Amino acid sequence: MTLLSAGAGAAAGCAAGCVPGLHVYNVLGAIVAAAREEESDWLAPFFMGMVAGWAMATAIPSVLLAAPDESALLMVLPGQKYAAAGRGREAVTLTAAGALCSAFLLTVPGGLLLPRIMPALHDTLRPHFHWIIWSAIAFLILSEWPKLGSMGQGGWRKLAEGWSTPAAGILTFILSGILGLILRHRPPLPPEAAMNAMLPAFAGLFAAPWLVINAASRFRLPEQTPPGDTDASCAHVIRGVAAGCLGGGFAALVPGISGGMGGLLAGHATAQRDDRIFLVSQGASRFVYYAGAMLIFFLPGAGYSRGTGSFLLGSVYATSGRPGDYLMALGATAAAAALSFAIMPALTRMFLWCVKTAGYRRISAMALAGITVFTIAQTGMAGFIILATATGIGLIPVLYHSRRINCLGVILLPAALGMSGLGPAAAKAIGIQ
Amino acid sequence: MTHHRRIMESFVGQGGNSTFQAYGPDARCPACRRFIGPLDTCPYCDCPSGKPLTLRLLRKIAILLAVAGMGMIYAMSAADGIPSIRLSDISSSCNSARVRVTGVLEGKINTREKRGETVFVSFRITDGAVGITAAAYGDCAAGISRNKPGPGGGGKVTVIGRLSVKAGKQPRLVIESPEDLIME
Repeated sequence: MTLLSAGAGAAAGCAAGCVPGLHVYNVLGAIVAAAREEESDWLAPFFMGMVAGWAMATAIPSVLLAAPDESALLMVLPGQKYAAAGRGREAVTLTAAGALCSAFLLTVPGGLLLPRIMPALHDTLRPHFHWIIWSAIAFLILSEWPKLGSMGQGGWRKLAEGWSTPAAGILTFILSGILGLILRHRPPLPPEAAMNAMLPAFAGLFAAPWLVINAASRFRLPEQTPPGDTDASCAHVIRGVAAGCLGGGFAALVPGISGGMGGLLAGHATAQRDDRIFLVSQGASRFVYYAGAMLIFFLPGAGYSRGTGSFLLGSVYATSGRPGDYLMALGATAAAAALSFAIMPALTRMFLWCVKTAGYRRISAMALAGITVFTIAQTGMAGFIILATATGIGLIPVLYHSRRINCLGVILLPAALGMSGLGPAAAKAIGIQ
Repeated sequence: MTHHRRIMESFVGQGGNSTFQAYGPDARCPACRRFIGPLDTCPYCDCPSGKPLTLRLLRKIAILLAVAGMGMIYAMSAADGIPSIRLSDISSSCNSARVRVTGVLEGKINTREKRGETVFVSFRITDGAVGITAAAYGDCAAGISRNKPGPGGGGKVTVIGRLSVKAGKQPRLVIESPEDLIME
């Protein structure tokens, strides 16, 4: 039953991962809303399988459907470079390899070590989470760099152009942070939609801008060659997996820090320079963050959880706290990761066929419409207003050449304020307490 | 051939060594032909770069949407206030909702102290047939203990808190600020 449920979850997660802009937590939220506590026997392994499958398969649209047109001239990510060079399938393979390697490390040696080291690690770090998050915020803002200002004659205009990109990043962080505060303390949603209160914000900040730019772009995805030989060596994979596990593990351990933020910190900590290492580490970081956070939920005697997935599952599934549940979670994760990796080539071919048949822009427009309908179904028209606002905020870094990771202010700022004991005061200061 | 060189050459065609060449004429000023990247106006000769209208419009729409939308969300939040909920209406989908509950205090207020400071306060509220435990921790518990001498059972209570609904456990209302507890 466990393996069947995990397999079904992996298949569903892979399918969801291939839909541009659809996050696994959106789907899990809908499942939890419909599920009953009596169904928890199949629900837990299904959840684990779905998270693992999505973490593996989401590399496909993120590499193949990211348009590096003129708006991205200053910042082309490695996956975009590969896709524009017709080597997108190779990039997907590298990312998936990173995820598979990290799945092995997480479930085998990690599975043995986590129950021993996590309680001590958590108890030691818990009083320090607040300043860790503040430090991450400071790093996020201070690491923004001017991308313009090197052209032209000089003077105030050149200075303004130079500062435009960091200013856009800071503005994005502030706006998303205030949005996060409002959604945390007084969301304009009914109590029944509270569990999915962040869904429209995340969809608007991260998914919708990407799809809007794709739909408006003139980029044409060239023919993608089969992966064939890659010039990535074992050393690249080892370095990428190590950096990814470090970043993803840090994100899974510290509340409020997401996989993207963990990957950014780990990339700087390990001095990443190579595109191949970056791709492998992205896959590893994403898998360790999402699957690792879910595994913490099942840790015997933990009493705490991490991540939205655990939060959603916890409302309908009560873990017994015994090793049996933890072993079930490990087995489901490992099986789902293996199955997802095995079907990645077929999924990639299918995805490319869809893009070729339907068109790059049409797929993005359809995905955008799908997200909008899904959001309205889950959270009503108030959720649509949040989605539209968050889309506006999320478009700022894309169009003004800053980094999208500044949108993480939506969780970082409320988390940092809350853990510092300043949450209610901050909410009162902006008049929403 | 280095990895980077291989990627860039397949990206831009033979002989190219700059990412920017792959993007064609839009990256160059139509008048002076200098590289201007994503700028709308050439910083050298002030000639409009001829960037797609869609992108230029999107930049303005993004700012407008973000600012106007934030204003609308703020107004909606401020106007709605904290929603009231009946205890019988609490379900798993209400997990983490910030709600107002009005009821009657059942039993006494329980406290726990550590080093002379109250670190935990809990009490039970009922609004008819259904009850819920309200709890406060840390500084909030200390503040409640200082400000609110506990009444006996039967007193009317209004509490604003965050619902914690977990499988296998009774729902709980977590108080985040001493001002969120009103006892009559």
